[in-house]
Formats: sequence, C-alpha cells, structure tokens
Amino acid sequence: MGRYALKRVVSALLLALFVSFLSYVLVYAAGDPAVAMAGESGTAADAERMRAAYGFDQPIYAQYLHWVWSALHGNLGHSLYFDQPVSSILLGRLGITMTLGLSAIVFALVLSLPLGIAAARWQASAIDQLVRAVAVGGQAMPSFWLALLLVIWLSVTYPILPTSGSESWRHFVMPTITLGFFAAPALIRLTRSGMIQVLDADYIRTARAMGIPGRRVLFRYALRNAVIPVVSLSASQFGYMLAGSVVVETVFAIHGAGLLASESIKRADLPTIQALVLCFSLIYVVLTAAADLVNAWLDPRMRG
Amino acid sequence: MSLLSRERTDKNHPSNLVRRLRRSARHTSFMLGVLILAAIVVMAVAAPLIAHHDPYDQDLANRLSPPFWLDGADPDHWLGTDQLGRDLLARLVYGARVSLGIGFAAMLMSAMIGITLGTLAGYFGGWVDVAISFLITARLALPVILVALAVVALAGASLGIVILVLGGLIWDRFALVTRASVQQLRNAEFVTAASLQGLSPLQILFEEILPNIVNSLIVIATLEVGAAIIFEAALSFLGLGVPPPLPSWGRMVAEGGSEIMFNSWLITIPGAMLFLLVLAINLVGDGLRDIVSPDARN
Repeated sequence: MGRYALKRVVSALLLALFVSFLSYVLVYAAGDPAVAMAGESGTAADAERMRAAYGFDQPIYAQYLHWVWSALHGNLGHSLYFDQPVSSILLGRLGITMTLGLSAIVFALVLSLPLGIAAARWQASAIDQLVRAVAVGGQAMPSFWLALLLVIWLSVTYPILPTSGSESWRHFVMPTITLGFFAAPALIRLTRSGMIQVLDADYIRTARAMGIPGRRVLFRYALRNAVIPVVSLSASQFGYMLAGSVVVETVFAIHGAGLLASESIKRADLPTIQALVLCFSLIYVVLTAAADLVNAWLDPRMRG
Repeated sequence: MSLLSRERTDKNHPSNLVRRLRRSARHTSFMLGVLILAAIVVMAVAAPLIAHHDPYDQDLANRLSPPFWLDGADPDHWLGTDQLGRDLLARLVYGARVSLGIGFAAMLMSAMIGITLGTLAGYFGGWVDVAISFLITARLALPVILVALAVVALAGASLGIVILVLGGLIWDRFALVTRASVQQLRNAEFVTAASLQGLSPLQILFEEILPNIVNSLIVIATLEVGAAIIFEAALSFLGLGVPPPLPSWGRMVAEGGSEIMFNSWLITIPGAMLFLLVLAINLVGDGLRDIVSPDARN
C-alpha cells in the first residue's frame, strides 16, 4: 500500500505540474496576450505597457517558471479588473462554488444510489425501464435549459424560490438540482451495472443459499462492493461539476468561482482566468488521486 | 460443416446483416432515436422548404408573436417570432444545420486525434503508452467549458474556432477506448499471424486491427456528436459560441432568457429541440452498442 500510495502521489504531482503549464500557456491562444489584455479600444502603447507589466516580453518558459514559483508561494498574480491579488478574490469565490458542488454531489448520490439499486434489484421491470429513461433523459438535458425550466416552474408559475443571488440557502436549491442532475445519469448507470454484476457473483449466491434474508444480502454484502467504483466516479463527477458551475452560476447569478470565470473571460482578465483553470484542474487531480487511494485501501486488488 | 461455420463467422454475410437489421427493428428505443434523428436531419437539409421566412429577416412591427397554441397567434408565423420579429420556425430549422454541422465536424476532429493517440499508445506500449496516458489524464483534468470559453473569447468567436476548440478537447473517450482495444488485439493470434506474414505495422493496423474495433468506435462517435452539440449550445448560451446572427439553439435560449416572465416559449421551444436532438443521438448510440455487441450491455 505504501509503495502504491507513493507512486500515485508522485504521478499526481507530475500531472499538477503539467496542467499548471497548460493553464499558463492557454492565454497564448489569443496570439498575443498583451493585445488581448489591452482590450479592443487599447492602443499599441497600452499593449506595450501590458507586455512590460505582466512580463509577456520574456520567453514563455521564463514567464511560466516565474508564475509557478509565485503560485507555490500563494501569489496567483494581480487582477487588472479588481486591482487586487487574484488569490484573495478567489478564496471566497471558491468557497461558494465548493458549497454548491458538495450539495449537488450529495443530491446526485441521494438520487442515483436508490434508483440504481432498485433498477438492478428488479432488473428489466417497469422500475428499471423508468430509471433508464431518467438516466438517458438526464444525459441529453442541457444544464442551462434545465436551469431555466426550473426558474419558469418554481419562480414564475409558482413563485416559491428566488431566481438569482447567493444570500440564503433558498438561493441554492435550484442550482443544486441543476448541477446534481448533471452528475446523476453517469452515477445511476454505474450503480445499476455494478450492482447487477455483484448480485451475480458467487459469494452473493452463496449468501442467499445460506438463507440470509434478501434485504441483508443486498445492503450488507452487495452494496459495499458495488459502491467502490461509484466512489471514484463521484470524485471525477465533482471535478466536472466545477466546470459545469460556470454555466449554472451564470444562470443563477451565484457569486462563486464559476460566475467569476465567465465574467473574467468577457473582461479578458487573463491572470484570473489562468488561476481559475489552474484551481479547477488541481481540484480534479487531488480528488481523483484521493479516490484512487481510498479504493486501493478498500480493495487491495486495485493497487496495480 | 465447414461451410456452415464460415457463414457464422463472416461478419459481412447477408444473413448476418439481415439478422442485425431485425434485431435493430425490435429495439424500440433505438428505433425511436433513429426516427427523431431522421426527422431533424430532414428538417436541416430541407430547411428552405419548411420555413417560408428568412431566419435573419427582422420585422419589428411583428415582435413576440406567440406560437399557434396560444391566443393571438399569427398564422403566418407558426411558432411565433422573437424579440426582433424573426420567425422562430425558420431560426429553428436553420439552427438544426448549425448544431448538426458543428457536432459532426467536432466529432470527426476529436476522432482523428483520439484514435491516433489511442492506437499509438495501445500498439507500441512502453514509454509511448506512458506519455499518451499522461496526456489523456491531463486532458481529463482540464475543465472543458472553461478552457473552451477562454480560447473562443481570446481567439475570436467563429464557426471554425468553435469546431477546432471542441474537437481539440473532447477526444479523450476515443483515445481511451482505442487504446484499450488495440492493446487487447495487439497479441491476438491473427495479428501475430499477420506480422509473421511480413505485414508492416501500418498494414497490420489498417487491415487487421482497426476493422475489428470499428463497431465500438462508431458507438463512441455517435455519443461524441451529442456531447459536442451540448457543448456548442452551452458556449453559445454564454455568448461565446457561434457568432450572431447565425441561428444557434443555445443562443436562442439565452436570447429568450429576458422574456422568461411572459414569453417563456422562446426558452422552451429551442431548448426542447436541443434536448430531443441529443436524446435521439444518445438513443441511437446506446442502441448501436446493444445491437453490435449485445454482451457489452449495462
């Protein structure tokens, strides 16, 4: 286990370094980041000032090394728009997005686990058909459309929930449902297929043959094994939901990192964009590594 | 006896094709997907025949005319008009071209990247595999929507940029599946036989390995078209996808957003089209998986 853990941590670190490089060079998609930051009304002199102020005149590798070195010391650059360090803007925003992400993943699991288990337990029944329809429909649902449908239904037709803002828990209900529903289809499918596979295993048949009651077999023996892959999928789904928060927070005007991302992109606030891409990728890297370690601890066969 | 067994293994034999077609016809959700998808494709191709209006023509005297099921509908604008008085039906049918075109083009590009990377990793193994697997994991770590938005914003929104950005981002599933299948086939007996016959690695790839994984690649391709369509819609919804005035369903939903209180059909109709299209594509993809490889279900 120690050897595996060390290997996994080292590979996560290498990955973190590589995605940080990608996050940095992303701004060169514009061709010249200095011109992009100067904006459409900026003159050539403005662009030159940006170039000098942000070090775009240095070779890319030197800029990157400087940026990564500062990032390791907690300095993610300076936002032109806010005229503040990016790290201090980001901190509060990430907290809101993580709260939204956590409540959404909890919602997704509360929805997916029972549905997946029921579909597997009564395979090919009407319940199974219904669950599969929910999964297929959920996968085809654009999250921004679901968000607006919820607003039409729960704010316009029956005005019970506020449409935008992040002041109280009521502001988080519709965003949680939207984001959770975005993660649910994959979780439902995996719970269902994992459960079907486990229920077919020899040790479950043995347990049944020994006369252990069905419900106990299902929850005590089968679920425990079926849930292992769901743990690692939840980790990566959480990472995808952070990206999805860009859309959902924009619709509901939740002042988290997702809204900050879409606004910073429109303002060409490059240091903030780089920092956000870096944070979202790093969270994904950390979560998937943690999930792998948890899995390896639960199931020694995974320590490959 | 030898004749019989050959008939069974020959994939292209007509009796096998007939059996597959029969199996498809019995697969209800697959047929449903095919029907909806065919309807939308016909709509996109025959757009000028279906819509009597130009999708760009503004008629400010005739703004926000409701669709046929609401009071005060204008029989000339069957699905009503938007804030600028443009015919919604015309924008929907021409929008189908944008969605399908981008979805298909982005899928082709991601297929080329993903299949190439996956084949290299699976065939050569060793450090090539390590490097490419690392690249795949790094790609998975990047938040697609965020990166796509940033690149489109910085490089300037256009049809081509959207296709390039999406195609350059969503190749991961192609790469993973190709890598795993090539790895598996690499040591199969018929591949060893081919290499003993003196076939070059490229010949082996194109003549022996790729034909054997084409079924699973088609399934991925279908699902990726759906994914690309949703991503394009999300980008356009956020104002950084296909540039106006091109009709994109995602941007139509965004434009309808300001009318959410009184004229919500401007949101529900284009969103429903998007949902139906992606649903149909996913049903076809899932159905294909069941039909070509019944054991790969669940």
